[in-house]
Amino acid sequence: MGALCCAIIMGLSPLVQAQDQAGAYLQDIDQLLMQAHTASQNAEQAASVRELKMHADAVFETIWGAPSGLLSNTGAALAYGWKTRWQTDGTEFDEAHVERHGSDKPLISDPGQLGIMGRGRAVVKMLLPRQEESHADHVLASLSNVIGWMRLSDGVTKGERQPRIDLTHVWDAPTRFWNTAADTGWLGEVHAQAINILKTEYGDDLTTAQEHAKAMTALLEKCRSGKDENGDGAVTPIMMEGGIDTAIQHAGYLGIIN
Amino acid sequence: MSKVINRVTHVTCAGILLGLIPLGSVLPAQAQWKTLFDGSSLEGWYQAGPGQFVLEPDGSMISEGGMGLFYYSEESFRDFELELEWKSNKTTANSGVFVRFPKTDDPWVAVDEGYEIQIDDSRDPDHKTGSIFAISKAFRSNPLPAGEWNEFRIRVTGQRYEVWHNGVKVNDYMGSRGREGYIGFQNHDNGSRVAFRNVRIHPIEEDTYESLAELLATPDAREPIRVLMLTATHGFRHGAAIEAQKEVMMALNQTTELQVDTTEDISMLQPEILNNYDVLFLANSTLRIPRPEGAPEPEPTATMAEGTLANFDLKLMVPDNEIQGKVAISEAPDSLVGMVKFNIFPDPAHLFGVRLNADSLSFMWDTGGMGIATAMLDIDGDSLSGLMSLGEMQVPLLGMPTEPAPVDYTITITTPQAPLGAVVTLGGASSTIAFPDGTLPINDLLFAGDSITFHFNIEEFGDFYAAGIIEGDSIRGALASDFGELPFEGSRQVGEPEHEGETLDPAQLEAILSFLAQGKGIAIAHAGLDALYNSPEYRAMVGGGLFDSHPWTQSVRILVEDPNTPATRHLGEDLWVHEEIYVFDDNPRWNARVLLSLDTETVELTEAFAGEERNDYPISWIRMHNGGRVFATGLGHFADTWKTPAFLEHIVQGLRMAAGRTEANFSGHRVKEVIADNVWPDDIAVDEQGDVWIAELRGKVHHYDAQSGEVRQIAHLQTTDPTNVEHGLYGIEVDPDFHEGSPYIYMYYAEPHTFINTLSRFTYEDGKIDLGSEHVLLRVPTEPQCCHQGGDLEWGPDSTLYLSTGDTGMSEVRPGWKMSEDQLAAFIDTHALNDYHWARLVDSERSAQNLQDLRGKILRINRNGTIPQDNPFYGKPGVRWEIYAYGLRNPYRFKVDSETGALYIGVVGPDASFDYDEYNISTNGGENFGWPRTLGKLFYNEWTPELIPDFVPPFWEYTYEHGGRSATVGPIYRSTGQYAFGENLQNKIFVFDWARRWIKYGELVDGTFESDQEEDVRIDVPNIQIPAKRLTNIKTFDILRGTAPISMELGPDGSIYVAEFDGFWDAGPDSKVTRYRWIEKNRAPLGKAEIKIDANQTRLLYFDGMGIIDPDGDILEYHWNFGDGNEAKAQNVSHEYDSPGEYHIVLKVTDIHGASSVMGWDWKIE
Repeated sequence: MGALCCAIIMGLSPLVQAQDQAGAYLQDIDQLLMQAHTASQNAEQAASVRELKMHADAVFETIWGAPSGLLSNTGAALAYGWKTRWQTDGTEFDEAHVERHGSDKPLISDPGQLGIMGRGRAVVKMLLPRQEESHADHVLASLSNVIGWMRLSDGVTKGERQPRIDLTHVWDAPTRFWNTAADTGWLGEVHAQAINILKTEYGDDLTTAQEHAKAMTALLEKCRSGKDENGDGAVTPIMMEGGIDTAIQHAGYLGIIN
Repeated sequence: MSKVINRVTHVTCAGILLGLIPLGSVLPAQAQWKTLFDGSSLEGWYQAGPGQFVLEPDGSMISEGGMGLFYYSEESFRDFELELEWKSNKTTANSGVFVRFPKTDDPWVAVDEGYEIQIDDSRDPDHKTGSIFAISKAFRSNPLPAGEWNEFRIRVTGQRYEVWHNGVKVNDYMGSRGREGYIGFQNHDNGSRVAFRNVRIHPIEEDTYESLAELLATPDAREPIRVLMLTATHGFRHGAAIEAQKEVMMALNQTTELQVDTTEDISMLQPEILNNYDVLFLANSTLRIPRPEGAPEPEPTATMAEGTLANFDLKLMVPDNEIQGKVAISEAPDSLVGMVKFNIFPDPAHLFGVRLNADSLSFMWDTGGMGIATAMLDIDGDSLSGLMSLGEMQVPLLGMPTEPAPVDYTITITTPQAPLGAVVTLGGASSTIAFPDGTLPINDLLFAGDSITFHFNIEEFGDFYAAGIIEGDSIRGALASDFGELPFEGSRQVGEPEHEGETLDPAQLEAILSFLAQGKGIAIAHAGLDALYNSPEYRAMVGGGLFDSHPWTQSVRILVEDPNTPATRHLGEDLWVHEEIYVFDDNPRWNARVLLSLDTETVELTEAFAGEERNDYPISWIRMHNGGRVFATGLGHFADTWKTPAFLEHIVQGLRMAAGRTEANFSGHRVKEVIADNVWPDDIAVDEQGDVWIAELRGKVHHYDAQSGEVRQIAHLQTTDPTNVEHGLYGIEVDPDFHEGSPYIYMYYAEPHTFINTLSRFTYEDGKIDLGSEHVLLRVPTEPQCCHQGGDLEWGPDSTLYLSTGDTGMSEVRPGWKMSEDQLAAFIDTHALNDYHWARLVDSERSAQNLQDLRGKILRINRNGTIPQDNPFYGKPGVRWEIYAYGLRNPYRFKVDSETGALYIGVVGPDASFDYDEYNISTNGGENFGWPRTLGKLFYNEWTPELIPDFVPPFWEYTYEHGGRSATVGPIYRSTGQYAFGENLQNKIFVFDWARRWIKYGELVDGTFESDQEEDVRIDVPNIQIPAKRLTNIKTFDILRGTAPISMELGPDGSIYVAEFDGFWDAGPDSKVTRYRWIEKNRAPLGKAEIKIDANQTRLLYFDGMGIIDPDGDILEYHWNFGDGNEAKAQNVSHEYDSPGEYHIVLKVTDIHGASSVMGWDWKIE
């Protein structure tokens, strides 16, 4: 009670603001996943390959917050390189590094514009200071299974901060972990499947395209519901099991979602 | 005039003569075999001399005591085949099978008058199992362990003695002793217990041969081939072999069209005499010429001398191999000195820091390119054991005392008739005494202080027992014999001075070269390649390589590379021989057609060397030179080699080929030419017309027009500055139908500013690439950090496009960037990482092992960027379907086999001492090559092959032991084009290494991948063995100097194109694109020369040969004759005439292979 009064008196601290924002982003992620799920189910029911691909592109957009560009192009999906992809709040970037490579500055500094992936990374960064708390750890584990296990570090080299995502902090995970897609995130599977559908020339073979859409739906359901990896009959908020549902559940326990 | 050939017997079975029909197929029916010993009794067998054979319960007879002879006395045999089984109680057990000796009570009669097929696996080559005792060494050894039954098959026909041991032929010798005799076994001594069983024989009644000359007789009348065999040597060399070759070659005069004259007289080398011959045969002839005046002093080369204090044979126990070496320690005034040499290096190195005491030896030496090596060894008894350290590498090193090096003494024996000269070579078990007419083995050699005793036997004169004294370089003593005591004395031969003896004068050398230029033939055997080092012309004539060393004197397998020549057709796939193998100072392969080469496995060179070590040992070859034919063989060191039918037929047919009397293609050589300089190539592509498209890392693109030879810049693509991050323009390809309506260029590059790697298609029109036509086919997001971009592009046989991508990770993903060694150690300690490989954690799991990510992969797409529906992961949910293979770190260069569709991938590994680079093969797609869980032979952390999905091990890998590395793959060579290389390259895989600058080729065979247990840091190191394709028979194609190979392509005509990189982040001065071709038929120079008058001096002319080119890219020599008695040799010259007149000016332009063009002008000088 004392701490709450203190916060009221002094205004919300940045940490508390971040926790609230994390909760909001988690709820956004939940909504985006539902949108993606709906789009994928629509793809399964599409009446033409073109319509099916439009729904697949919608799935793509929920992930990155931008379309693939493949609806009008047989070539490459638009890729969101380091200047957008790694960004969570805009402060990691080092001007010297940008200048040395003649690179543009990052364009997007608002994770809210980055789809599931960008919002998820923002949540990870916000909750990392509380990782010692079990509920925070459960949120992080569940979210990481979806967006990939990552430590967002500054990666200082050549006197510059070169922000990068790495997996080295889980170097001692069991081999089973590395042989699942949970290490780099189940959402990556959805992303891959959406691009696959968009880049495949089905011709008139709608049936095959619908089978591929159905597989995408199943991958999205895994992102939401998680997976009983250890076969104990329950999906728990741990590495390789929990999904967004358990993340939301434990965010509630943590008090960042009402 | 034809020569009528007389033969002693008739050849009725040409198949047998040619070795085409297996002997088994002409065996008589089973009923014709006669059993000499059936295991039930010894009836009919007779013991001569001490000891006996006794009947054993298992149906064998076994020797006791000795030395005696146990023989079947009921019947003598003439021509026959004998089969039997034997086993010995120990490796050193001594016995033998005697054939064709007369009935006797004296066992020595069988030794002296018959032939003994020896049984003793412990002896020297002249006395080892399968040898014809002291006469003919076995080609090879094929024993079973002591206690197991061996099989002998002995075929005796005429004077030919052939022996098979456990199914392989080990001897084939033409003898000269009795034509009929008995068959028996030797009971040698008490300790040798040798059993025999299943002894049976059948007579042979077919045509037989009484000599090699008869065996090789020509069945019809032929035009004579006049051969001058020159055997002049400098110093005492190859005496026994030369005597043998004289004997066999002269005998051929009677039975073949060869008319051989032999001489040691170099004064015969004059045109008037040589004009009488068709072939000059330099057979073990070590000719010399003085170093030309003004020529630079040769670099002093260190030689491996014997030490005065200690000498050891060394074994360096590197993974999968033992490297043989020697070390010699001597005492200098203030210190110990010495030398060390390993057989993978050409020269010995001087030691420093030598310490030697009763129980340890340590020394250091400079390895040259790899730094200072240190040996720390314990001495236990006579043997050494310890470690050699080189940088962070430590390798077990073992040593054994060497046998004394052979020392030659020239002695004179005082006999009742006349003094007899001989050379005694004292060197342990290989000691010999050489008389002018032959060499004999020395037995029972014993040194005791200054005194020496030994024994030898002369067939006609019995035993000689020597007892002598050695004082300094002198030796004296006496021989006890049936003729009484024969005193001898002599002195030690100190070395063999390189220029001792007669040397050729320039006219004699010119006579040799002119002889060849007349279109005649030169044949060279063995030491004929240890000759004329100071003559570049002779070196060029033999193909570039002269004797460098002979590291192996042993039984070897010689591979037949070209079985379709008269000199090889009779050999089948191989030839086994016990020989001294020459290693040449340059590889003649690229200037010749190689007929035979060494099977390196038989000299235990099983390691596929990843450095510059020699790996290619041609043995026999042919070549055209200056219009003449050259046949050369490195074989012929031993006398008994010359008396081996297979080898002698090789020589005889080689002489016929050199004489031009039998069909053989002598021509062919490799040329290398620069097709583009002033470029900084990173990747190249060659289209179906042979045009070359050159991409530079910083975005420039050039086009080489194969028709005109013109090189033009055709684009400058904007890309990320590569400095420090390796981004830029990585790869280029040309549409497979570029000249048929699809004028597209495909490039993979880093988009500026974004670090997104992009594969795009551009249109080529109006002589340039239209950058505005870009159609992006694939995007691979990467990171703003160095390195591992991969970036090679290749077409599949079905015109799908493959792309290699790197893991874009850091080389060593340590658990913290910029961590000090102390911090790293603390981290490892804190996290109990000692059991893990520090250089590999898991960051590349998110790229190379991540099937939702395109990095660390081989990708495959259609030409329009869509996904081929036969890709290996097509249809698998959640996996990027462009992925063709994965688990790759930096697959910088790969190739697709146009015939099989298989991919060969070079993977650059981490910059760590004991990590690997590796080469992979993807045969069907879907393979996981394991990075970052494994690389090369190392499996990191807890990973084993069964835990890695889709894992396929590499087909070759190597570590930092030889310096920096960057494993990359070149073409799979398949071509029948105009400039295609021969069978030696067909179907081979090229590999090259940017850091080490070599280009090699090899072949894939089914083998076994084995993990590295030495450098695995785990506590429980698994011994992993997996059936796998393995790269073998790796040979060097070229080693670049000053540049580094970075891309390789095969052209439509069989040409090989190489992008030669120089510089690092910017162009160096030597960067270029070069082309290798095999020129099957040499062509003469083409073009026009010009003569110009000086504007001010009408008698001064300028002669310009710039317009002359060689269509094969050869270097040209220009020879101007100005018609006034003056000449000049240069491409461009000027000449001032002394007086007016009309002059006939001639220019002769000659390429290095002797083809020339001549042009003339009639010029009037005012």
